[in-house]
Amino acid sequence: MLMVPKMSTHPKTPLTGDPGDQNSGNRETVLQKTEYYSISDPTRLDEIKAALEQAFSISSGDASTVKETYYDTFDSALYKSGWFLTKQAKRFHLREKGREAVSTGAVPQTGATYLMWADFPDGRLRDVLREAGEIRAVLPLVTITRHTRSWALLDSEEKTVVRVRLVESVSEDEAAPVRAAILEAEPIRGYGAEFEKLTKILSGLGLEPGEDDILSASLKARGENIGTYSSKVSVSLDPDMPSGKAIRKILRTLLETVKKNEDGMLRDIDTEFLHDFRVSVRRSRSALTLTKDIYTEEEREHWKDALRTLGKMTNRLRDLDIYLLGKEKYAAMVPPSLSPGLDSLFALIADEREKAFQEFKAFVESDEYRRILISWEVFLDSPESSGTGENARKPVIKLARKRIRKRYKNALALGGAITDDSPDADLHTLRIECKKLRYYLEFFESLFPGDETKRAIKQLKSLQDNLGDFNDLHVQQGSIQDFLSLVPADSADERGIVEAAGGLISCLYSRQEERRAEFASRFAEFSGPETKDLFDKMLSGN
Amino acid sequence: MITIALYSMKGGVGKTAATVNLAHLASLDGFRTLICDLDPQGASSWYFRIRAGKNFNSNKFIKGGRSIDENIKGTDYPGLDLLPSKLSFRNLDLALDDLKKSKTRLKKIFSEVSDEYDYLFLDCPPGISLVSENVLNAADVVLVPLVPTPLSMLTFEKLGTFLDKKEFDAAKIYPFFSMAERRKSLHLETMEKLASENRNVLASVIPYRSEVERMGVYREPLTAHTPDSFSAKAYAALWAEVKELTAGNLRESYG
Repeated sequence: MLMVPKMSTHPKTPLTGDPGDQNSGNRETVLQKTEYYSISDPTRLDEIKAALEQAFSISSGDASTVKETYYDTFDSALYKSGWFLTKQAKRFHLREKGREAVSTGAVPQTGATYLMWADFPDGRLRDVLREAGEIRAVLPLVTITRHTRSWALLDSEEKTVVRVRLVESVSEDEAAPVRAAILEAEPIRGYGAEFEKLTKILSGLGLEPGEDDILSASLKARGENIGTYSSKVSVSLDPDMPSGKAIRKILRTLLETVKKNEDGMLRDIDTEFLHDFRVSVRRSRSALTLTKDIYTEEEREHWKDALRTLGKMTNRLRDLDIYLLGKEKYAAMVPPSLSPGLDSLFALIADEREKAFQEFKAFVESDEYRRILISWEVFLDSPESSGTGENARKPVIKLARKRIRKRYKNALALGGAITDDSPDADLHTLRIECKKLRYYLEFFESLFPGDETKRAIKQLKSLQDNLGDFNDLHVQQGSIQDFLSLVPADSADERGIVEAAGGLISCLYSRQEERRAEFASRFAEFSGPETKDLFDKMLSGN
Repeated sequence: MITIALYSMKGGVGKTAATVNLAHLASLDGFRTLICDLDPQGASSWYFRIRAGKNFNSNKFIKGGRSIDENIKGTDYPGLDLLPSKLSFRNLDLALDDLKKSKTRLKKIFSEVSDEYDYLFLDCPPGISLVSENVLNAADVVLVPLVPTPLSMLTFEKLGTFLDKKEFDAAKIYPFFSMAERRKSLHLETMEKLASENRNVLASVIPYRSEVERMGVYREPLTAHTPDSFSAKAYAALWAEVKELTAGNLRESYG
């Protein structure tokens, strides 16, 4: 046995991105990427073919027609990493964008309503889904009938030098069939000159390469878009913008994310809907802490309470989700002799999770929840949400610098006071402070030119990961003890469950201690001159 | 990246045909695959209708880096690329000899493309030379096609002696029978004898068939042109063994 080759789960060349984004700008000339030409008028296809035939000898390859439904995660993770996942009849197919011929298929092996990687048999499709989609389920996007004609452009030795595919799609809509057509030109490594010759011919016909592939073109033809959702905060602000207006923009963006996740959360598609919802609520609360002397004290208190209620309602369900997501990890921690007890413990947690989900669902469907959401939206859409206080009109750049600096200093002071003997609670306090700093950096990223903010976030993230793990491990030990209260008094499994819980707790404890041992070096890096430099650069100015 | 060398001291034993078909099968399994044609005769390149660029030569090759990048060419098969050989590769020995660390130069050159490919197949020139020493250093697995005759066995023994002398690990040398004719009792006896002496002998046998020779007419891997033919199936069985060797716990073929 030798080593296992590492399968690439990403296309070899970043087909949609800039191939030269690493250190070797030269590679661009070597590795061209597939170009996509949107053909708005399908009757032109004959004219295009005639023009190509004048310049190349063409071998017509297979033509195929398939009816397929495209799938992706809610955040278009597959599409963004260059993959198409489709379903034809019961079988799923995965193909690389721009490399039609490389595809791999699988039939899900479970009857789950919402499929994720674990529902597929071992193989490449599962591996790609696992790496790109992670813990997200895939959902149907659109069903099209796709007709593909392939041509190989040949040289004098009948060697293929460029692959061309004409892809036409028809999707059914309520009113009439919706059509789209894309010409894909796939370069072959080492035949750049021939590829350029082709693009010149197409350019002569008035065709220029664009961003759309057959999926995005089909969706656009239906008035839809792909890849618009992201859980990241992306707010574009202007340094001179009045602080009140900027905060409003941030809060409004976060509210959109909250709303976008409602449906998936209620349908219980995957755990990330709740997670993104929660994070957006928490970020909103954090943004509200920036509104001193922008909103009135009364307003601040009112919305802080409302958002706290939203957040609090998610706590139990999220905790249980985290346990269930970590099942594999926990199983690996305890000796095999304890695994029957662990299984029983997890069965209890799964029941409890179902209860918590029903409770949470009832809350989201309640008048109380609606009232909070609607009043929050009405407020954010009203002029008052730009603030009436004395700070509302001050330029946001000043607010951003001042508040980021304060959080950064707080984090340094709190972290600097932590010793090996500090209680767990001190690390927890630092964790919260770091989280707030992180949120501020994310809110205001667009205000700072250059990549200082990104680099500062990266430094911070490394510390946050350590603190986050430490805290999770701490909390989990406590909640496992709590779970034991769920064991029915007459349960035959009781002994096994208690033993498994005991084993797990001691493992979690030793891991928590490992994290603590790592803390000092992570914090040293965060508090070091390199990070300080980044913050100084970012925060200098008036 | 796993490097597989097809190496034989003797010529005309079906080495290039094995390289071309095995590499094609690897690409069909979804592995990103590169063939490096080290044989100055350029038979692998010719099968794929690929000609090296005008400015490519053995000196550029051993320089590595950008000149490798620029000269790798895509074959007609997705996921299968080839670095063509040049007639000047007959001077590869001399060119290598001028270098420091001349015996591990190829290993270093190939390490630069190791992120881009899952499998690298080396089609090596026959003989024992500095090039073969380089190949033996660079390869994770060395496949040695053997025509099952006593003379071939003798040559194979010589290879063993050479490996001992140079302190190479013989464990990565895997012979397989090529151009075998089961009707010939001499072939059968020879195959049985070696299989009993050498644990690394692969079970799959590539038969002597005219369809392998005809590859030169249509210039495609047999596994692409007539995948259902007897010989194509023999290559598929050989590939399955090689894949198992190199990726033991890869449970299912990717593709």
